[in-house]
Amino acid sequence: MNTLDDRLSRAFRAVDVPADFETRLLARVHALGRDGSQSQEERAMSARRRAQESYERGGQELRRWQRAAFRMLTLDSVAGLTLIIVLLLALPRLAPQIGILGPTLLVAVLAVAVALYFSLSPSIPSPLSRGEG
Amino acid sequence: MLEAEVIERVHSGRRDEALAAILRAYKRKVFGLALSYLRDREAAQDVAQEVFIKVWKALPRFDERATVSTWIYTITRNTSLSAIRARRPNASLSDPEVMEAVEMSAADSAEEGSDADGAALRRLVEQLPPKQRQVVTLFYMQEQSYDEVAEMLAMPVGTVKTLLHRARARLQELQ
Repeated sequence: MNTLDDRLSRAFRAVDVPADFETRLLARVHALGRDGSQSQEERAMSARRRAQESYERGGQELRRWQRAAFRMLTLDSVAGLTLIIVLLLALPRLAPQIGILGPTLLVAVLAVAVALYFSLSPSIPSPLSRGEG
Repeated sequence: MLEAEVIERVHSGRRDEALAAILRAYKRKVFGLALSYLRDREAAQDVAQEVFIKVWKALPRFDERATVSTWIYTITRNTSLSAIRARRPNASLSDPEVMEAVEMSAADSAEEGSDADGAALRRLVEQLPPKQRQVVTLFYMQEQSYDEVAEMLAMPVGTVKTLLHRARARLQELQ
């Protein structure tokens, strides 16, 4: 049995990987490493691109709100504002008569408020209408 | 301790050095295990390459809880069985005939650099049942360690001893 053991040991001792096994493997690993770093770079570029797009979207949003704010400074809004100022100035003089003219004055104020609302509402941007330029 | 060395190198960003350390310790063992399944030197080399590529890719996830040997032998067994399955696309990993497929694979070409007696003995070993053949191949390649062979094939040491005993008896008959 020992003889068989010895012969089997000799027979299988020579079985080994070829000499260039490690070289080929390390070449493959280095190639994979390069590919890996490329894809890392691509991932970084993609992240930068997404950040840039997000920044641009934010800028567009801000400009939209700026434009909406400027639209509010149209002739209608200036007229509405003037009317409010006039009302505020006139209010102290009208105060004694409010008791007599109360219902009439209330209707007038409501009418002015409604008129103001309709004059301003087209220029007030809705947060839901994001697609509008 | 190889595990500590591997983890230290991986954590310090030297994954290639970690792989080199593993290669030094396991190159021949992985090749032997793959060869014991595939019986074809070229196919076993391909599998061994695949195993080490998988190891290199998975190194960042390797931790102290695992042992390098168990980890690598598991990868080698699975990769070898997948290679056998690739030869027989309809076979399943749970199919008991997967191992029998090995019997139908190409003849062993591992005869280079050895004497005629060695080649003749290896041809006799080829005639053994798959498990016995695997045990004989690994036992005599791995400097006759029952424990090592048992770990490589994920079987109890007692089973390795039994298979080896039967294989020797069968080889005596075949001679």
